[in-house]
Amino acid sequence: MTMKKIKTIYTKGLLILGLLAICTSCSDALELEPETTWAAEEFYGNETDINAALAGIHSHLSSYNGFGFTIQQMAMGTDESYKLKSWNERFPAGIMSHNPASEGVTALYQNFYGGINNCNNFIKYIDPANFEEEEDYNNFLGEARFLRGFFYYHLTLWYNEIPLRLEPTKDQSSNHMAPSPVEVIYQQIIDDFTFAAENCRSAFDAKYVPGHTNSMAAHAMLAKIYLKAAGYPLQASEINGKNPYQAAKDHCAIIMNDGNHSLNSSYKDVFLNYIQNRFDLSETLFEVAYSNGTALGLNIGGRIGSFNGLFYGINGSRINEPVSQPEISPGPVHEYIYEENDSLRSHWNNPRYGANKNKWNPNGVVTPKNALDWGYTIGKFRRWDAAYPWDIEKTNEQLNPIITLETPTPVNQNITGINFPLIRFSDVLLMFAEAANELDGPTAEAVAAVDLIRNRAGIENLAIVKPDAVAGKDAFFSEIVDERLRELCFEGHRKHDLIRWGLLEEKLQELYESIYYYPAMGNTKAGNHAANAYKYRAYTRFDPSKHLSLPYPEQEVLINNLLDQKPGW
Amino acid sequence: MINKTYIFLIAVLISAIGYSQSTITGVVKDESNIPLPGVSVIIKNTNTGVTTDFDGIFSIQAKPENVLTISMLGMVTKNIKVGSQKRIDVILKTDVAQLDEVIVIGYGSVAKKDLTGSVATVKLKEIEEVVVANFDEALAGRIAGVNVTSSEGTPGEALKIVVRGGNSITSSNNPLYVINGLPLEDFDPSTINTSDIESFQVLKDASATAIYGSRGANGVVVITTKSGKSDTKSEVTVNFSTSLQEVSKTLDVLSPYQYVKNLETQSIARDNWQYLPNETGSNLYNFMKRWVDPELYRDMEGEDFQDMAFNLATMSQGDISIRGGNKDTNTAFSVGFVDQDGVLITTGFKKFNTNFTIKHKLSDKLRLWGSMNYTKANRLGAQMRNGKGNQFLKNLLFYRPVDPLNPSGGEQEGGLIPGVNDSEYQNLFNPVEDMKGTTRENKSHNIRVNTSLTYKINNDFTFKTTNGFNTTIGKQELFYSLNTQQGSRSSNGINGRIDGYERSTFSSSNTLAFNKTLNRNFFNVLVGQEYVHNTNWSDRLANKNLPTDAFGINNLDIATQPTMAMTNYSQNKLMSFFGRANVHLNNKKYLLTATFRADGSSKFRPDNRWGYFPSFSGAWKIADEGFMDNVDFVNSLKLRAGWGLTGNNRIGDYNSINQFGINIWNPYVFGQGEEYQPGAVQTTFAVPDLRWEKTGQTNLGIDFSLFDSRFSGTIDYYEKKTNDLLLWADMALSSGFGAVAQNVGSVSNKGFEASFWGKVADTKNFYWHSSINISTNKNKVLSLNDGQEFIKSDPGLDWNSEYYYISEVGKPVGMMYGLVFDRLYQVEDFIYDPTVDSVHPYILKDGVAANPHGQGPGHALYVDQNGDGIIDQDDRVVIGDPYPKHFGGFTNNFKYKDFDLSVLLQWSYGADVFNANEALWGHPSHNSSFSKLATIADAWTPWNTDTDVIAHYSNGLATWPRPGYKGDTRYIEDGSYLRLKTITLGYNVPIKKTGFKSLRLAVSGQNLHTWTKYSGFDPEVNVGGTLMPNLDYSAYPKSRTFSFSVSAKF
Repeated sequence: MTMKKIKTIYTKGLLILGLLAICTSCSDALELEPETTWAAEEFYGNETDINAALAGIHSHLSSYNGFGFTIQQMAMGTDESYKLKSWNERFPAGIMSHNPASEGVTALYQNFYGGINNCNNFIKYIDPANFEEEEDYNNFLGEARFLRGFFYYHLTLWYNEIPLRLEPTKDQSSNHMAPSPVEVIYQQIIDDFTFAAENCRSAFDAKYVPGHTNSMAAHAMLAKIYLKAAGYPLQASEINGKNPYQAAKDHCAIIMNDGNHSLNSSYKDVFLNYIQNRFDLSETLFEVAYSNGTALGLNIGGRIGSFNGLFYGINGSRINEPVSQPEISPGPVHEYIYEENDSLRSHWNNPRYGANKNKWNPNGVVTPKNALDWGYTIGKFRRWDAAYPWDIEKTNEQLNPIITLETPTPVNQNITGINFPLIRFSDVLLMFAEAANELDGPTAEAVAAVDLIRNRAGIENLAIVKPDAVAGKDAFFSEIVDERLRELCFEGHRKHDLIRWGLLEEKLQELYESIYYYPAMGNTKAGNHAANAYKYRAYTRFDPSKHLSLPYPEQEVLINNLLDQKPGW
Repeated sequence: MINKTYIFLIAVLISAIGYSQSTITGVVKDESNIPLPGVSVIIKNTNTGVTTDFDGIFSIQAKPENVLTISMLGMVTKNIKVGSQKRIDVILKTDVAQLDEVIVIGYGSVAKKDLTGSVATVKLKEIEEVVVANFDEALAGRIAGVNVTSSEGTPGEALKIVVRGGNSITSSNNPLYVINGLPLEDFDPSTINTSDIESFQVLKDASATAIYGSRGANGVVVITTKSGKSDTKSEVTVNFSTSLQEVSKTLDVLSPYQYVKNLETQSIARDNWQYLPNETGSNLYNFMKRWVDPELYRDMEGEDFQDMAFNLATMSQGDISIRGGNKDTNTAFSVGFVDQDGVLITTGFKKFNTNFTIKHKLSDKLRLWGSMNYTKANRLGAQMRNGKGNQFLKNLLFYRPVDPLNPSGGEQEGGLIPGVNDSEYQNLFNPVEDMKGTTRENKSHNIRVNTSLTYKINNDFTFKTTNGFNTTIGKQELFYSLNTQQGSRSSNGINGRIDGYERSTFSSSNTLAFNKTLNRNFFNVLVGQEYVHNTNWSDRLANKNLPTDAFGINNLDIATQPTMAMTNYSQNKLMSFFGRANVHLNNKKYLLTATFRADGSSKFRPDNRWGYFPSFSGAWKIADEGFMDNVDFVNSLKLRAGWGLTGNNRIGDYNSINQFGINIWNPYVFGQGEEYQPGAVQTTFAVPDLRWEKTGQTNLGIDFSLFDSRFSGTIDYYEKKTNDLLLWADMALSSGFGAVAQNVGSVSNKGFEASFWGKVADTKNFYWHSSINISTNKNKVLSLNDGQEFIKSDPGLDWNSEYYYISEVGKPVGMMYGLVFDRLYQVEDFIYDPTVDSVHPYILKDGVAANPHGQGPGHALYVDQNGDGIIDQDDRVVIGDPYPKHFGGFTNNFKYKDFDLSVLLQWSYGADVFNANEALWGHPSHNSSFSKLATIADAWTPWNTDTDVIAHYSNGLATWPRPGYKGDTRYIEDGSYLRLKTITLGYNVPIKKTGFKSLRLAVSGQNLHTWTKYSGFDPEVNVGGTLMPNLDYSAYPKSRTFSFSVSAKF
């Protein structure tokens, strides 16, 4: 072999080695990590991450497509309220004209399943080794399980049978999952809340931070899921090895005997607390928290009080005004369902006035409204109040008749910091009374629970005012049906209560009659009936074979091979 | 010269007597009878040949059976059988087909006649003569198989260039641009000065693009800019032009009288068609209090907001370039500017370019080339679409043309009160004021530097390294002053926002080429390696509620309401190895090309990182075969065939990694003080097997040139199939994700394309050259996501969601979707019975299809496709096809003495346009005081029943179409058009001894006239993207342009 050949081989060898080196190094060079996010395996490593993860999960509750807007829109379509805008058919589930592709039907489902996927990741990847105290670990795990149970509870209220996902989404095959029977779903919800009830902190624990879940809230949710199991569609006489009414009653009793929970002495203050950013942990077991962060550029505000607020229309600049662009009007039933002395609740829930500001009334003007007037709106989450309510005569036209209630001021025209209650103690009392009545009729403890609520509203005990109502199980049930409307209206309960009780059709009939035969309609102007027909669209279009649960979103049906659309859709 | 010829002639005669191999002599001249030196005269199928001398004379030994091939660069080759001739004089004609033109292919170049793939070139003269702001605007109608369309008329906006139909459904269909060897995925056409372009080529088929592998699937546009001139006197070129632009059409809107009349009709409809002028509180009563009587408005002029928003606009542009050099070094330098006002007030486009190119020969072996380009571009003015409820055009059309005579009347009595119970009031503000009060500007700086070093190792081997970068730094500024909807009516008040970005591409490619001629065969082999690094930075500064708008965007820190700063950064890398072999056999009669490329992308996980892209192609030059020797009228005839695989990785940089991130949409508040807690959620769900999208393409083509190249053409047929589509594919919503990037589905495209050139007349004083190109493409979805039969698409036109388009398996991507309109319900369809329900007295008769949302006389009746008696979303079908049957362009160039004229006609035939402006704004409302399109003047009323326009209100029900009912056949229009795209009339001033080399004056017009049945602004419109083609919705109208230009060389 000549030197030249050796040299050639040597050179070629070097060349090949060099190429190999380039190839190896280029594979490394192509390994890039995201610059602005965590890769999944690095997340949940410390408490900072965990707090961010919990906030992320909670944001599915507060978002526009959760309790921020969508649920409230879809909760219309009962005797409680009607949709105020004739032309607006967004979120048509509230007027029973939805279809599988409708915005709300899709948005709520996707949002809450997004929350569930984040919970499932959390539950799977949180590592006990990162915690000194097992109690802390269990508290965090309990919170994630509470929230997963909460998402599933609301999803099953709306959709009944749904896919039960307890593992994070893995790959494309995760698309395909059959819906589980409601009984299986309820059982899973019970398991999650039971874990939360046993492991979450009490709201009165020194380490508790308001806004998070707590053990008594979990008990309340257990009572709720048991009552749901007892009603439509499952009508279970036994679930989780228990009589659902007994279980509901027991869980309510745990809360009532806990010693920390009681009713706020003023019904109005309960809501002023939400409006003015105060947590009242004895009355409110769980709420969605919002804060108007617009001044700091933070996206943490909500729309409670804006779309479901007391009407305040402005023709001109809306800057720093507590504007309400309302979507929801109370049904005329609110004009007669309250007892005569129940004016505190009646006027707070249903103020029967609204305000305008325009060039003729530069300071604004408050005008009385009746149930069919445009701008007749609910008052529970009002951003402002009238300085001279409708029954007080105005003394000085020049004075500003409008007081802003919301804090801090100046307010933002659209974004509010008003919290939204999810579980109140009065709900617990009424669930207790309902469960006890189903078990044993109107017992003294059941009536006493209702009386606590009546007394707080400033009215006498039921036995004194309406002795008939406590005379038997059915009568007392009817009383509870009405009482839940008076006490808890516009808090998202009515539709689901009516569905589990099997009363939705009957109460929609009542909505229709209350509008069609409304006194102001009596001296009928031609066209009046036509012009008001949109107010009972929910009744006109109601189909009991289709409207007791939502259809599955179109996209779910298209992609999920193991799920078929419900009949009739 | 005559003497010389004479002597030769005698010599030839003498020698011919004694030898069978005799001496042939002759003179080669061009068409103007000027002798051509350096022409090669070769005996066909041999290596024997001579060249002509300075006087065009040749002399060669040949046998009578030999064929002489007489060829010269740029001239049509001639084959002449010797026979008994001893004297052969030849006239070579200029080659209109330009078969010798050098075509830049990937990492190399080849003569057009030796191409095996499908490559289209555009003559620079054609682009240069058209007065446009950016070169891409001059391309429409000029290239077969390449659909160049503007989505709308926004000044300075890049056009859509789609090569041979779109492959991808949800990712980009933009071609790859290679600018002087620098590959760029996102290229802004404004960054090149049109007159700097030396050559413009589009690589269409896979055998041409596969060398670019992963990024070749959408075609490759290769642009080379001008270099300096070697060893000659420097040349200075100055171009200047000035233009006037006007909007070519406006939409018909209600006149003041029609507007008030419409409000009156609306009031009567709302009173359930009862005439109640005197009944207090009735809608008509309220109307009359405010508006008094429609007749009073009959002669009022009102305000025409379109007239106020569209104006005559000017554009001026100019450039200077200097090119020169000596034997070893040459340079080119140019500066240019464009200053264009938009036809829509406040809009415009300004740019400034400068380019410097140097070429230097360091030694016989080493050559250096470098180019630097800087562009400053500003795009100004309003956006036509600002979100679902807020479209600029809508605001123009909706704003009432006239004010009420009694403005305060009715306002207290429950009439429609803007801001209180009038729908959509919040979206409306005097639109012209709003535009004037809004400052929107996208300012960008683009720097492109590219260098190459070529080292000729020996006769056979050449090494070349090309390194360069392209960086765009820019910001989009947006400022709302007090006198805007935002500034005075929204919670944001006076506010401003700056979105900054920095996008950068660095690329390095290194190739080793081997060239060898062995006997009559030629080999060319190239191997190479490439590395590309893309980075992308964005940031946002925004503040709200400024106390004053006096300082505009320049002093945002005075805001009382700060917003959070946002930044984002991502990067991706691409590493590639590639090779190509060109083999030309038997004197280039048979041409073979094979390429191979391997690409590794950082966007994919290691298991799926590398994609492999081969291609093969061949060509057969039939005209060079012996049996064609006697076919004189054929100058060239070449058959081409090829197949190749190309790829696509245009997804997000980190789509293949599961990620958790904090984002602004997911915070929460905890604690008594409701403190902000940033929230983290799973932001990206990555399917584990994300990989390359691949397109296989087969191409068959034929190139020919006939009758001394008087007529030539190219015809191609192609079939493309894209597999493993990188689709933003729907997920089951219960997975927690709406859509993620996946490889699902496949799409096919097939089509014909043909281009022909011809010399109709060619004399000394007059010529007429004509060319035409025509293309067809058929697109088809072959499969989609696992189990998915269709994708429905919602363009998000307004607050109600609606699927207006569908992409179904077995049909083309993005067909228009909706109900088939039959007629309006009429009174005869109902039984009138107010006793059951006085609100809805009209009860539908049996046998007439029902609408679940209710129906009455004047509501729309659609075709009940499934015959179930109910019209619902299940009755929706494909109602329109957005794809043309064929499209193309027809160019004629004339020259008479010093005048020249070129005319370009461009057409598209058979495509539908979805007129969403009509669909949304062409039907009356029962509850708003806004104006609409003129269509609504013909709304159904009991006294106007013969119409297709729905009533305002009927049978106690609002008539407007609900979600699921909003798209129907009334809004699908034939978008066929023939457009007089460009006319240029030039005068070449005869200059002698003036110092000028040339001086040319020209007048030209763009978009002069469009013959179409389409009722909207323009049928060439596409604001919806790939899944929603030919959507016309609040598009920026096209303008007609008249220009005058001067161009001088000295």
